[in-house]
Amino acid sequence: MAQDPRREWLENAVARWEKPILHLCYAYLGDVALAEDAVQETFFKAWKHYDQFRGEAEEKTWLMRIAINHCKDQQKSAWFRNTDRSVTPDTLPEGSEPFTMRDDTVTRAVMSLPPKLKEVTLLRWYQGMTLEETARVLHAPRSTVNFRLKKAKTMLKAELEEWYDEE
Amino acid sequence: MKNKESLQTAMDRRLSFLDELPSCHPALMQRIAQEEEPVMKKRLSLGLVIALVIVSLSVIAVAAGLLLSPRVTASQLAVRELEKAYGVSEEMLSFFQREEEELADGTFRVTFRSGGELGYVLGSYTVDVKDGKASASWTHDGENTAGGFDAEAWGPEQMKQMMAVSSDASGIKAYTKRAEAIAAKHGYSEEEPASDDNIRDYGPDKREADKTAAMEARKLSEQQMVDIAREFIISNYSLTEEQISRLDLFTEINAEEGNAWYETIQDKPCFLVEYLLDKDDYTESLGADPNYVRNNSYYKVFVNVETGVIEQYEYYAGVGGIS
Repeated sequence: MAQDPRREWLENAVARWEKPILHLCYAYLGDVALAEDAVQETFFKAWKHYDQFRGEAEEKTWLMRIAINHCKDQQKSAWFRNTDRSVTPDTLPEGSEPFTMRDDTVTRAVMSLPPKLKEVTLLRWYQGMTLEETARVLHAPRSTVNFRLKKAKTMLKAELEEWYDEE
Repeated sequence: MKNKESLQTAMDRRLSFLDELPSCHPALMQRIAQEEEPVMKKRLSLGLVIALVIVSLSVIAVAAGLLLSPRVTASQLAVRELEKAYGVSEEMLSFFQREEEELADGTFRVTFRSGGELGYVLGSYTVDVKDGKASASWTHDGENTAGGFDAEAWGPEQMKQMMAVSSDASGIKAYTKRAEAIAAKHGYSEEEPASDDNIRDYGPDKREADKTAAMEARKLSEQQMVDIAREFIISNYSLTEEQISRLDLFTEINAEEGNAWYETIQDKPCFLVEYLLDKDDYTESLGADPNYVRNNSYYKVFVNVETGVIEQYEYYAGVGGIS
């Protein structure tokens, strides 16, 4: 019997996007359990609203939008706001893959950005989305995204000078 | 950025512990299987979800040291049910008038009724809450809402568009005109409010007497009641630190006209606390920021002067030309 196309699409989407979305949500929320919930919620919502999905080219944008909106909702919750969210060495576990001090500095610096700057940084520079795609994910004009990226860059520059070129 | 790839690589390396976590796939498939189960089971599951919502609401309230009347709890549940069932957010409810009624069988009915030119297109939402379970319906249930303002029944899609032009008089005029034309096509005329003897008999003298009685029943200080209301607004609307800093108390404490801020709500003596959340100095273009509708917001909280219980609350997002 042929598989339900919605299920089939979901299976492929999970295989392809689960890890990038998990990384995005963790970097945004700074909490493994919340990030895992966000990933599951993202795919569940995507499955439920599959009829709104417009095709392959939009897949990443669409899923990232669902994920980032969920993260924003989490962030607005009273419980989230009342918990200390500072990124300390204790709150960032070590993985199996070796990393340098600089990897650690970059990650902490990005995770410590204010939410609006963090979201553009994560989408544009971490997830490698274009300016246009980032704007679509955030439902914001390109000019706004650009403005926020510049602001993020300025904030990161002090700590991560060697990572940037002057424009 | 010079080292875009390096930033990606650095973060991927540093966050590699995430790759060791188990996939969400099994849990996701289980959840989907549950969702696809027959309606009876789905209803049970929905009941559980609603029960959890009540628990979480109570937890938030208790954490903030707040006491909520059953009416307020039901009202919160109704608002959340509308968001869940129809995607109608609390900001969108500013287009509606809220009516609350307790039915003979103990059901708490909350009706969100739109009026004027928008009366037909937006219709009315009714949420019945009983035993912690909420069920919502809409006067346009089953009608097609796709196609922006060309549709004849307007749901969240159109309300979002309406909110986006909430500070633009010509934008408001355009959709209002369209709404009027649709209403006329359907021969719609607004219902006259039912005659209510209680309202007719509630003259200025009685109102004044109730206000004074409410004031005289006071066991809490006005400052304490303001603090209770403020906590409620912050927790119920999950205000950010930045928004909290802009909360502006409109209620006058120790007003010269002693009973000015006292009311009797459902036979309960209450102190009315009003807060404004003023428009922020957004540099971004209006309508681009998803939070902008929170500007010009206006909160009303009725606090029981004897017990500190929150008896009623209202919220206006300042959309639809209201500011």
